[in-house]
Amino acid sequence: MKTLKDCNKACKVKVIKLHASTDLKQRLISFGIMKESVIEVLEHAPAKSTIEVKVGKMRIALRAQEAELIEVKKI
Amino acid sequence: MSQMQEKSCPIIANHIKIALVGQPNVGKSMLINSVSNAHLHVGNFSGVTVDKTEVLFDYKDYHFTVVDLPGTYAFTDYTIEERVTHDYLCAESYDMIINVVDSTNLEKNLQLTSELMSMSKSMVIALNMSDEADKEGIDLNASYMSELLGIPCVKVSAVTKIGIEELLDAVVSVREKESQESKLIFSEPVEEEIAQIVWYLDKHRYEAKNSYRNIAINLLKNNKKTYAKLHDDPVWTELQPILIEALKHVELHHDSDDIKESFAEEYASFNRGIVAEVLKQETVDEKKTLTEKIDNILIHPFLGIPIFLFFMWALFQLTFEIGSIPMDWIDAFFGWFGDTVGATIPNDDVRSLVVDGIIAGVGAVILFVPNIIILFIGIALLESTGYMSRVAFLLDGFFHKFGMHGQSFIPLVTGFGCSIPAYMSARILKNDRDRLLTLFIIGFMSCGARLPVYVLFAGAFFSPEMAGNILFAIYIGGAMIGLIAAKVLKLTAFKGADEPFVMEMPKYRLPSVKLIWHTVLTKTMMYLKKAGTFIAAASMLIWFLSNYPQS
Repeated sequence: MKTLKDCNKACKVKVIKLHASTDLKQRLISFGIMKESVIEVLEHAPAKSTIEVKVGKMRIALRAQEAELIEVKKI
Repeated sequence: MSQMQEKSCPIIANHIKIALVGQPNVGKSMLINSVSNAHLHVGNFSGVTVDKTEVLFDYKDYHFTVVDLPGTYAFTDYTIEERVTHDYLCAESYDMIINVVDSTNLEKNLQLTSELMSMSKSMVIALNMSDEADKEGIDLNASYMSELLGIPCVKVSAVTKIGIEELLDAVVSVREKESQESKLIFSEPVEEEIAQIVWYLDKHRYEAKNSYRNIAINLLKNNKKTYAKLHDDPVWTELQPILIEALKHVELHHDSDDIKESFAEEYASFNRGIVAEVLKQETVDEKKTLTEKIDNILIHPFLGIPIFLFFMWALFQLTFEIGSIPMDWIDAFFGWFGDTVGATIPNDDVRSLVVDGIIAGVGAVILFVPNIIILFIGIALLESTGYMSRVAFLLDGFFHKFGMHGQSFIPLVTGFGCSIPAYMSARILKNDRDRLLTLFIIGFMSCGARLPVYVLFAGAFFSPEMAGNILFAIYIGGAMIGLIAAKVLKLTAFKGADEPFVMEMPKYRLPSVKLIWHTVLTKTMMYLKKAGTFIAAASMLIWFLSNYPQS
């Protein structure tokens, strides 16, 4: 299973499924991260602990451990 | 306040109470500032951590009360801000919602709008930042959008003050008209199920304030209140099997076992449709936006942290160097004031109480005001430009290891200067537990006032050539113990699942002087009020304890 955590910089992916718990899932959805949405990886923080992604026009930072719960496929 | 208002305008008593709702960073506070230019009263009534601001003003024949609710991405109760907004919208009484929307990012903003639409409240949409949208070549058809949504949509710009009157006119006309059902349309399977439930409710002539369609949607969304109401009604026995089937159908259609997720997808596709209809954007070439260019430098994997450290260093230099100038004046003033007042009091005990207790105590509070003002201006600048989110992004990896949040860095570093502004600046942390944990740790960061004591000890116990190293070790050691203490607290008192870190990185914006002034002013007043009473009382108590009993 490929997750958002595995993606490199400037990589564009499509979300297949959210494996997060209900609360976190709601949070991700409210930021526009849901099935079928397209995510672009913009930047990694030092040690890849945090990643910055772009969803639509919005830029979002999330931890690697949350990114791991987002199943994606490359497009 | 309301009594005074009634006195001044006894004839017109038309009140419109408006809840101002929007996602974070859409310029709600700016809008409220430009709407109520001749505002009568701006008061903060604070909750535990998040403030709602209420603004009163008159327009045409109406009294307006606008409640500025904290920004919220979705209609949930995930963060404190969201909970405040959610509870207010559900439980308080108000006439209308103004939903503030960022025109440059319509689709994302509509996610909240569509959720608000299913609340069956009167609503007006303010398409804010329309000037920026024009610049970006976004052509938004507001009147077509109003028609599609069944909600008046008005283009406004809080910065250039365009469309403010039109917005208020729209509010007045919505108030004067009968409210109409919003035109939220779902996918076919969901619409089918809604129709089925509506048909059933209609057949049994179920009595309700809300429309059947609204009840049906809320039932499908697993809205607890709607369930509780229907549960006590005889119709429930027959409705339940219909509902179970309906939910299964919807979940099957979305291939998900989470009805909330299914509805989020429903809303998203509705919004995509709306955006496709009303918005035309000139095809922009893949040019990098200004924000992206700035971010390339500021959150660079190697340069990011040094640049941030430089900003912090500059802020501290400003806070403590420039701040020390008025501090000297204030100190001198209170010294002089104490002497002058003291000279007029013949009784030794009373003089000591007034001079060493009250005046010295109040002076100690006032003394820090310049520091705090400068620091708050700095923090307000960092926050309103959007840089604070980048700080959290850069440092979260390190601080998360100790159970803290990336933004904990700012209060902790401030703690090396002075603990009082450090405790104050912990307000930037939005989460209760993160903030409390950070507050506990600040004490380990050695503040400037401890330096003389350290110097004394280092000089007394160690050789002169070692003293400098010892001093440094004390500082570093304190910080290390602080981080370890944070980890220990996280494992014991603050045990529990980690708060997820999912955060918007807003566009960089030039800060508004008015807004910064307002923030700094309210925060400084709060400091004076709260710290003034406590510190003044405590210093009187200390004065008493150190003077009595006299032997």
